[in-house]
Amino acid sequence: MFIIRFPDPERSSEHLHRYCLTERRAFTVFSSFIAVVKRSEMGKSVVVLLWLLVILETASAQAEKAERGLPNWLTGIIAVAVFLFLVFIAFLVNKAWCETRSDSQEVKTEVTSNEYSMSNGTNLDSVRSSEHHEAYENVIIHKTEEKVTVM
Amino acid sequence: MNFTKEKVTINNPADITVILGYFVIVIGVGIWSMFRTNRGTVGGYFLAGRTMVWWPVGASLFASNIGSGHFVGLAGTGAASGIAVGGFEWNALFIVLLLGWLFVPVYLTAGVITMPQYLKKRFGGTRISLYLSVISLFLYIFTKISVDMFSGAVFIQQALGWNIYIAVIALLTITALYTVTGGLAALMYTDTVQTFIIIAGAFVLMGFSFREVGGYSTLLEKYSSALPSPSLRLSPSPHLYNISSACYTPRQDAFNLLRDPVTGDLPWPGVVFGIAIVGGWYWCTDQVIVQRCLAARSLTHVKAGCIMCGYLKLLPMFLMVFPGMISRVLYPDEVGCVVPSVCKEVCGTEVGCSNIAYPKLVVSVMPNGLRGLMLAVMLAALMSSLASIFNSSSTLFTMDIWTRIRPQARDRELMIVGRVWVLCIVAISICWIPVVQAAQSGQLFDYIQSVTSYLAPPIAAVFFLAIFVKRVNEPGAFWGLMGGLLMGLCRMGPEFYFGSGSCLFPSNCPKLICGVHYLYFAVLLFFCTGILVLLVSYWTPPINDRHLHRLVFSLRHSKEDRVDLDWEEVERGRKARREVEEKNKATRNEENETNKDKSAILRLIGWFCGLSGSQAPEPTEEEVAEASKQLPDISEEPVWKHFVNANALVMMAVAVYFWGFYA
Repeated sequence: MFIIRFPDPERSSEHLHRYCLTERRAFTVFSSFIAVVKRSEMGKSVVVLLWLLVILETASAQAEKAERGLPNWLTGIIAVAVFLFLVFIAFLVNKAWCETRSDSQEVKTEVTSNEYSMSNGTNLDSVRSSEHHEAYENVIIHKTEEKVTVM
Repeated sequence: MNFTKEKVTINNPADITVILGYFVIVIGVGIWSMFRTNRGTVGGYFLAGRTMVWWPVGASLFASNIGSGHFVGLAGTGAASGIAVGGFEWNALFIVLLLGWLFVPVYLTAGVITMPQYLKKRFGGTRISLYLSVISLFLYIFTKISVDMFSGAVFIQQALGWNIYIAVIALLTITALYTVTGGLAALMYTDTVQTFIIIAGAFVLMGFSFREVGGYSTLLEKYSSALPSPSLRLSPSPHLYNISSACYTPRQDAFNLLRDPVTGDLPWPGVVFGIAIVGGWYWCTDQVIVQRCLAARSLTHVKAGCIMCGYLKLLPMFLMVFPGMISRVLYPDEVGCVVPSVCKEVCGTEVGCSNIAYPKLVVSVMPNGLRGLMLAVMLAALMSSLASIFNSSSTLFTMDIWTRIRPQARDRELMIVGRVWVLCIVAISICWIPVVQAAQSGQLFDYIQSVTSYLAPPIAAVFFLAIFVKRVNEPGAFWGLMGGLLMGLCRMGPEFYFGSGSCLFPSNCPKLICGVHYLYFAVLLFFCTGILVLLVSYWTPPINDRHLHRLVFSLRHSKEDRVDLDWEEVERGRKARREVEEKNKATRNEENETNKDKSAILRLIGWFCGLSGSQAPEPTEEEVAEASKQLPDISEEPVWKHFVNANALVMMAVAVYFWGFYA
């Protein structure tokens, strides 16, 4: 059902043989384990679980084979899509997180600005640019070309 | 079995012209940049005056990372087992963003020059920083320098047939010359030139080798059938050992980046997480890389530099790993040799000859003139990474070890000590050549990889927790480092004792110790150290917030006054320096008339090294208090901040695409 491409027909049989060998070994290990479990009276449910695991294992192994059939560029695109989706979710979460935080900050700044504003009816905040936080404050800009580290 | 040993001595005019041109350019740029910055102060010499813009930062990050070890190692491992080794490079794409976005802001606001200095400020005490500086110097000498010199030696031997001693000594001398004279600024500008040369040359070689093999699709087809000829597969002495086919057939999953977690040679959880941890140490907490970021003009320039470095790091897969695989396709008998005696004849080592993959291509594929270019590329890679290590190790030594021995040392003395230490390191490296040569059993690479992944994860864990978890304190960090070191040594010891073995003769190291893949071990070590650090920290009293402002990530924007945990030591040093200054002033006044002119030669040397005669007086109490009020600035212009953020996102998307493409 699943197409497995082997580049070299001579070695493909060898590879298949090796693959079968490992599979068989794994199976015998599992069955002996199951036998031990059976003997130790652990109940049927555990056995069922183990069988399920075995089936899942083979299924996932086959799924892996099937995925190899996808062309490279498609796996790349899928990976990018998943990545961008994750980034989008992270962005949304971050946005929600930051929204609540900046609200509380704004309340704080208003309280402090009222302390120094003159109370003649007008409020400094009404003329303050809302975009630039310190638009009407004189900012001292130190712009030296080279900074010497203090030892 | 008749291998024509081509001893290509570069003696045609085209090659020599190219190499001479290369040296002229490098020295020219070095001299030009010498005049651009003030090299007489600690900040000027070790941090390039903090004036670098983004492109020298990015190029310099790349050039100091890519050494000759990458050309030999990546191509060699690529030839031996396919593209998974490229995961080491492509993992760094994400780690380098971590550096610019999370780590460097904290280092910048902490106002430190070296990484041990950061730990001293963060935790107080001296034992952690001493341990870190000693282990960093150890790792530089025994992993970085030796791997670069080893691979440089392989290249020179294979491709040119020169005498290793003469070649390496000449190289080290040139490198030391511009490290000593120029400081970090000269280094970063020459690194930019070196990056151009490395990429251009490697691109040319990639083009030639793909043309030789017949294109990408032919490589895909032919790689899996690149077997040595049948007569070279049989064991010459079957009663001693047999050669199983697994030892000479290329891996089935050669073109997969992500391999089976149990049976793969580089299992995918290890490639994704293990490499990220070792890379986290290399990119985010190591002096060589961080120092370049600290030299940048502003945080935005750091981030832009990191993005540029990230894009450049996409290239090694195509420039080195694929050519290595092509080399195996073209020369299966030599590069893919399996019989020990044959290998010995081909490349002088019995274990295998995959290391010669890249030099072999250079010798066989490139025409005259371009071979000289490739030599220039190798020299560029070797010199740029060695020079970075020299500079950073001298920074570490001067700032962390020498200031401890002589707290009264002032700027001028530190400058001289830094330069003398470079010469010492060069001497140690030269003494190291015979060891490197003796260890040319092809196993050196394994050792170096194991040394890094057994010693680095605890350091990465401690830095990570120091920056992101406020609660971690001094005892926690120290005992975490010690416990991690102990665990690492428990694994490293047996591996060195038993050897890592080869395909034909596997080592008989007990499965319990060596069975765990070294990348898995790195992950395990990282988490064990982290848990140990947290446990001990929660057992012992926390560090007060007033010592931590602008030293941890959550408090990086804090404007509060910080009481440095190491202020007593700093104060003692300052007092000692001031006393020395007073004394000097007294003696100078007496001698002023009698001894005014120094000898001309001394003055010339002083000028050459950028040591000015006078030095700034030691700051007084008031000046220090004033300076401490001037907070380091990590604010960014919103427009450019969004621009670099968007760029980082694009870069990550590109990286994810490539990971998916070759998964």
